[in-house]
Amino acid sequence: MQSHSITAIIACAVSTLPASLACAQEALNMDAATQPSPGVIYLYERARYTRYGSAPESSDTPRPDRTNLLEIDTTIMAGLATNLALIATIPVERREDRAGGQALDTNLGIADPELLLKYRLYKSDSGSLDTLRIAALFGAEIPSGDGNFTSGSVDPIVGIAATMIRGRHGFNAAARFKLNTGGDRDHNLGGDGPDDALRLDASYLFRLAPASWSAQSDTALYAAFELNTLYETGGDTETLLSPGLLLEGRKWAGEIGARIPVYEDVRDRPEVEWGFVAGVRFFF
Amino acid sequence: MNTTRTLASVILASALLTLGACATTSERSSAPAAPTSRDASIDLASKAPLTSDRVTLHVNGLSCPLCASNVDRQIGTLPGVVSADVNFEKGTIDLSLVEPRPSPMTLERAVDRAGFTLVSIEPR
Repeated sequence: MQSHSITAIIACAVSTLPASLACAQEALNMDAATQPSPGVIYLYERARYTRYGSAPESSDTPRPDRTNLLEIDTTIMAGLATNLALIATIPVERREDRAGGQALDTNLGIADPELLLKYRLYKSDSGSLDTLRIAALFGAEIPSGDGNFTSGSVDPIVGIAATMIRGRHGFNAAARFKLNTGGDRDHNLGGDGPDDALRLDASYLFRLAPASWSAQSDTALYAAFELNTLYETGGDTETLLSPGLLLEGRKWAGEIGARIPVYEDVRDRPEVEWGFVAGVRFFF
Repeated sequence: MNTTRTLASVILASALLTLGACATTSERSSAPAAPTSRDASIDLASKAPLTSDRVTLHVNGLSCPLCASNVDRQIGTLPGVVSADVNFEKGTIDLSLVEPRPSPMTLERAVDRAGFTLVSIEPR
């Protein structure tokens, strides 16, 4: 089992490597090395619905055979300095545990907010459209105080993201590690249990329209393909394929996407069956 | 899991085929933004105010529409800048200026704050 996890991590790392060497428009489910300039504020509203399968044997009785999770994240990103931005995310969640077609338990509440600083480490603008950027992330998840949704602990986060744009092609690669100092297995649906969590993400975005920019162009439509891997130090590993579409204007962006598991080796929590995501972003 | 893997494989394969077809359309993108005549460009290190009412900034890294928000905030709000029009096709920002006009160095710093790289300034 452990060797499967290591294989999955290596596979993801290998898939991430060419992206960071070759590679963006911002993807839907991962960090990017882009950020607002000083004084610019960016508001991001994202709804994510995920359906999970049966909970493991060790869980509560009766054991849920399905869990539906709706997460609505509100993210505010503010440019503090040329290379520094503050990111605050408040997640509201509705969780429904079901068994035999009936709801066992339904809860609505605020999960742990996330406070991050993003610092641009590197920028190389090699052409009028082309750029390579690398940014570091550091911060923490802080307890929301909502008993049904909080880990009850401050969980430090560190990460790194690379974004590369070459004409119509955009690539992102990111790694993020969260040191979980609290949490419990029964409420964990991935990354929020007692085990530490490592996320490895890679994405490719292709500008569908316009094929070439014109003087009047001010919107763009992108196809996005992401691989999102979550490894928990207890051994649970999952990789999701997330295809999506991103429509971007000068002051806003809208996005929709699906989430489909392509690899799962999960014992301590329910497996992801499928999910979808939709979001809007506004610049002020 | 088998069903979802199969579904994922089909979606991925279809997407790659679609992208392969779409990607045959090439685009100028790798060439650095630069004026047609370098002789006409202005020294970016100069602290002296610009003398022209209309200049074109050649900028690298302007890769998406949202980039324009950063440009509007950092350059469009500088004293002496009446308007800043981003042209993604050419990788340029056309400025209309009034007294007191900014210096090339001020513009270079503003472009850097916006997150991009100023290559040259051309009077129009």
